[in-house]
Amino acid sequence: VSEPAVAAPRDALDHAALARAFVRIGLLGFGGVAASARRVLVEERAWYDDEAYTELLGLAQTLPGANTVNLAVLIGDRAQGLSGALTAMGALIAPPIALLILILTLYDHVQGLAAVRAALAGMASTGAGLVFGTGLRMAWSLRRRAAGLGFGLAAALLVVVGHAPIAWVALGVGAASMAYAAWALQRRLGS
Amino acid sequence: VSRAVFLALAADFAVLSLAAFGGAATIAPALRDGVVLRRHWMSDAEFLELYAVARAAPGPNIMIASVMGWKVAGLAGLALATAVILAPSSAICLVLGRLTVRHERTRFVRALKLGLAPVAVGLVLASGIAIARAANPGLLDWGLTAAGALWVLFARRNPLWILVAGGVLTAALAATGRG
Repeated sequence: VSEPAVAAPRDALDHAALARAFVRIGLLGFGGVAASARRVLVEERAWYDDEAYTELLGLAQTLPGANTVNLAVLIGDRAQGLSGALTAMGALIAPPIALLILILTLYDHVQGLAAVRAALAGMASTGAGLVFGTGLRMAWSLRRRAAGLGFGLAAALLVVVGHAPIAWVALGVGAASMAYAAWALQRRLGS
Repeated sequence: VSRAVFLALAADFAVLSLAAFGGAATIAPALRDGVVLRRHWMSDAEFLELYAVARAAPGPNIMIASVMGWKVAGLAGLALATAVILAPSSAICLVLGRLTVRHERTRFVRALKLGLAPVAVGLVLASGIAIARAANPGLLDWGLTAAGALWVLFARRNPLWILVAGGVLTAALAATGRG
């Protein structure tokens, strides 16, 4: 099912290209969609480079709603307006929902699906690793920004070790990081 | 299914939509409070079963809300829950996304994008750890997580291969462990 990595100008993305990309992101998104989204949008399709993708994800995560749904809205809207946003969003969620309903229906009607359950659990564990590895690759793209790495690490530690609510971390650390970025931009312009 | 149930579903999930920073994990406790304790639409065991299957299946975790709707009121419930959990947050995202495009040259939006990018990286790392903690009961499962992380860092091949390998291995072990 893999497709060649063609760098298309992302403003010219049509509805079919959006739909194909987001169907793929949704169905490959075991244990969370963060890994498959970067894989498809940055590595396979090259619609975004690491920097632009991470900036867009930052926006998607700071707003209420699921990150990748917000990401689909932002990318779809930029490409094709409201209908593009709806296309990307629908393509992202409809196939996984259909699959999930199918699995749950089988659960209710077929005995001995322990193997399917075990397989899904194994895929979720593996998927968690894909997400973590994706985070490490994204951190690598920040390697020239010491302050950025610091804010990223602070956000991760607050959630993982401090068990702080994600909303507060996104808004609190996000505001601090933004203030620092504004100060750095000001200083660069001033010199 | 009565009209009151649909209204309650819509009201509950619209609020959750605006509270769901970072996705379904954030609203899981509130979702459980609503559908199990307050509305009595399902038992705690049913909720946990649905939640576990939804988390293991591919796709955005927010679809757990769609499945709750399906459980409560069939296909109509599924459609309503999906629309209501997505619409409010997506509308905000659409409007604010357009504002950032329109004002992308201003220092505020440049600082916004530069500042939020590192937070995005930190939260992706954190969510990897959070999913692993929830999904990994034993050492073997942590091994699969490590294999997934190494695959992304070094293999650069389609992640489906390592996912299928992890799934087949776990299923095979479960089958032999039983027999």
